[in-house]
Amino acid sequence: MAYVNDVTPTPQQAQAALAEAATRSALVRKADKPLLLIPLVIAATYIAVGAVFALPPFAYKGLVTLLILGAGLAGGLGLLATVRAYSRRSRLLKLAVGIVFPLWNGAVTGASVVLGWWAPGSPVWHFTVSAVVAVLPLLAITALVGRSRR
Amino acid sequence: MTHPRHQLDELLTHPVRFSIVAMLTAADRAEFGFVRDQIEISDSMLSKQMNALEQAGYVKVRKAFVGKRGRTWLSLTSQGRRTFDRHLSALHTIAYGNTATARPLG
Repeated sequence: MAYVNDVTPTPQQAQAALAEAATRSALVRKADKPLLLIPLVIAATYIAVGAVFALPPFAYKGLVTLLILGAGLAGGLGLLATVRAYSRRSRLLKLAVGIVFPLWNGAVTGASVVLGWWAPGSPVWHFTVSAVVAVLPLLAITALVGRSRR
Repeated sequence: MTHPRHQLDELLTHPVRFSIVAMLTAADRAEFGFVRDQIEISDSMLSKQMNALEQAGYVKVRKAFVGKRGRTWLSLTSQGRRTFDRHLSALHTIAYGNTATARPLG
């Protein structure tokens, strides 16, 4: 459509348009900030469940675990509901939460069983340590995505 | 045709359409209401501009339902992204006289 561009913006108008574009871009990146908290909520839920498992047996241990899981789920979904725009970096976050974390989690669980880390009679804190190792990719991706411009 | 104005896209010379596409270029997708509120235009104005951009193949509109509540999501097509990058590059040349530092925003 080059032939229809009879009016050329002045350098000042062009600079103003570029500034406008940068401002609009930044608004989108700001809008999906709550999304960065979702991996942290999952990680916190995971570690909290691991910590409860490490405690000596007590009444309602199962109920407490369920409550933590429920709170984590509600928190994650609540955050998701507040997001009205997803920046392009959110793809990386989806990949991390939807694919990398489950795969890594499976690998940590498998290794814990195969290597005898979770053998009967092992200290219960072994479970907590495994939970902490399992959430490392979530923490790494949150830091990475949080620092990225896109 | 070496003047950078020839690289400008006519559709994007409209300030509201420019703002919409500038916003969507950084977005994987954005909700209709979010774009409307940020650009400070009415529903009907946004619909009208989205129609023009959709017909040009620059944006995609998807409707999704969460329970009974419908949400309309807007996103840029790869054609829209390329066109906007070219448009920005031309603006950069007009503003600063070279393209060496022009960079897509998305």
